[in-house]
Amino acid sequence: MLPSPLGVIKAFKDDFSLLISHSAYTLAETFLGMVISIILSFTLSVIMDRFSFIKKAVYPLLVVTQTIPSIAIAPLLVLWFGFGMSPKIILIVIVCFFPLAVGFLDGFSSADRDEIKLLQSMGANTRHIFRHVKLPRSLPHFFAGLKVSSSYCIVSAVISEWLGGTVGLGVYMTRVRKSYAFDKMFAVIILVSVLSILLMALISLLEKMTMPYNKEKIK
Amino acid sequence: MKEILSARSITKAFDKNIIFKDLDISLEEGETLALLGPSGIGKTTLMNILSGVLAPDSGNVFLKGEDITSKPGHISYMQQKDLLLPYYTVIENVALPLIIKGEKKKNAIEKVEGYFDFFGISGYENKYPREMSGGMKQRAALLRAFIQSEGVLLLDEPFGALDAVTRNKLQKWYIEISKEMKLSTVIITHDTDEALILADRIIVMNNASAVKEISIYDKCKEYELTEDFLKKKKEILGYL
Repeated sequence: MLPSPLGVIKAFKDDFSLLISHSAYTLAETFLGMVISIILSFTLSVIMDRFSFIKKAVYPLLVVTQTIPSIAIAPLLVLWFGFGMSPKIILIVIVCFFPLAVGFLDGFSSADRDEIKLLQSMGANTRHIFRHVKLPRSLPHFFAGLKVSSSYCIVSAVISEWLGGTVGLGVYMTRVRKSYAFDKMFAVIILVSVLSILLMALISLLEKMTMPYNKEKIK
Repeated sequence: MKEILSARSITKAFDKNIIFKDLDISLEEGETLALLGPSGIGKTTLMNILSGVLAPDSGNVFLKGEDITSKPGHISYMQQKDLLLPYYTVIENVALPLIIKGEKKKNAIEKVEGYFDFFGISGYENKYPREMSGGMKQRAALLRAFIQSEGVLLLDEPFGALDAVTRNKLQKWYIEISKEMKLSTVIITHDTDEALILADRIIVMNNASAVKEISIYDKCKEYELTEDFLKKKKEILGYL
C-alpha cells in the first residue's frame, strides 16, 4: 500500500510526459480561474468601497459563499456546465474570490485619513485619491489574499476534475486510484504540492517586483 | 506690504460647541504668521478652513482677492507628519501636486527637479522616503507644499515630530528659505519659542473670543539670545 520512494520516482519518470500534459491543463484552469477571480473581486471591491450601502448588502452574501463546502457543489457544477473547463474554473472562482475581495476591501479602508486629507488639499478628486492612496495601500493586502487563494486553487481544480472530465491531474489521479497504482498516486500528489509551492513562489516574486519600496518588510 | 491671504468673519461650531466666532485673520506677502495656543483650541480647524478642506459655518477666505472658501487646491497644507507616500520616490512625492493638477508625470518631475538642491535634498530624488532621516523627510514635505501653492503655505506643527537638535537646525533653515523664496506662511505651534523664532507676527489664541496679536519687529538669526525674546515670551505666556 505504501510505495517506496524509488518506486514513486520511477512512476514519475515513466509517466512524465503524461503528467506534464495533465498538469498543463490543470494549470491553465488554475490560471484562468485566478485571473477571473482577481478581475471580479477587484471590480466588486471598488464598487463596494465607493458605495457603502452596496458593501453592507453584499458583504454578508460573500461570507455565505464561503460557508458552502466546495466539494459539495463541485458535482452540481459538473452537471450544470458539463465536463469541459468551465465548471472547474467556476469552482476556482468561488473558492478564490473571497480572500481576494476581503484583501482589496481591507486595503482600501486601511488608507490613512491624513493622506487622503493631504490629497484633498491638493484639489484631488475621488479618482486621484483611489489612484494615489487607496490602490497602492491595498497592494500588500491583495498579495496576502492572493497567497491564501493560490494555495486553494490548484487543489480546487484537482477536486473538480475528480468528479468529471477527460484531462487534468484530477482525472489522472482518479485513474491511477482505480487501478491501485499507489506509486503513481504518490507521484501525482507530490506533483500537486510542488506546483502549489511554485505558484506561491511566483506570487512572492511578483509582490517584490510590484512593491520595490517594501523590500525590507518582505525580507 | 500687500495682503495675500485673509479670512473674514469666520464662524465655526461643532454641534453646539463654538470654535470661532467672527474671526478675522490676514497674512501679508512674505510674512510668517504664527498661531499659538494650547491643544484643542481650534488651530487645526482654522487651518482646515483656510486650506478649503473644511467649510466654515459663515465667513469667507480670500487668496489674492479671490474667494476660495471651501475650494481646496489653492493653498498647500503641511501637517505634523511628513505624509510622504512610502510607495513613491521622493521626486514623485514632490511632483504629486502638479500631477493632480493634470500635468504629465514626466513634465511634473522635470519642473520640480531644480528645487531639490535649494531645499538641501539633492541626491534623494530617486530614493524612497524610508531611506531619509526625519529632518530630510520634512524638507521634502516642505518642498512638496511649496510646489503645490507657489508660495502660500499653511504649516501645522511642521517640526513637532523632530528631535530638538534637528528642529533647531530646520527652524534656522526655514527662516533663510522663507526669505529667499518669499514664502508667505501661517504656522501653527504650541511652542512659544518656535513661534518667537519663526514668526514676524504671532496670534495667541486661548479661547474663541480672545485673540491677542504680538509683532516681532527685529527678528534676527540669534534672536532667541536677546532680552527682547524673553520679554515677548513672558508676554505670550501671560495671555495663555
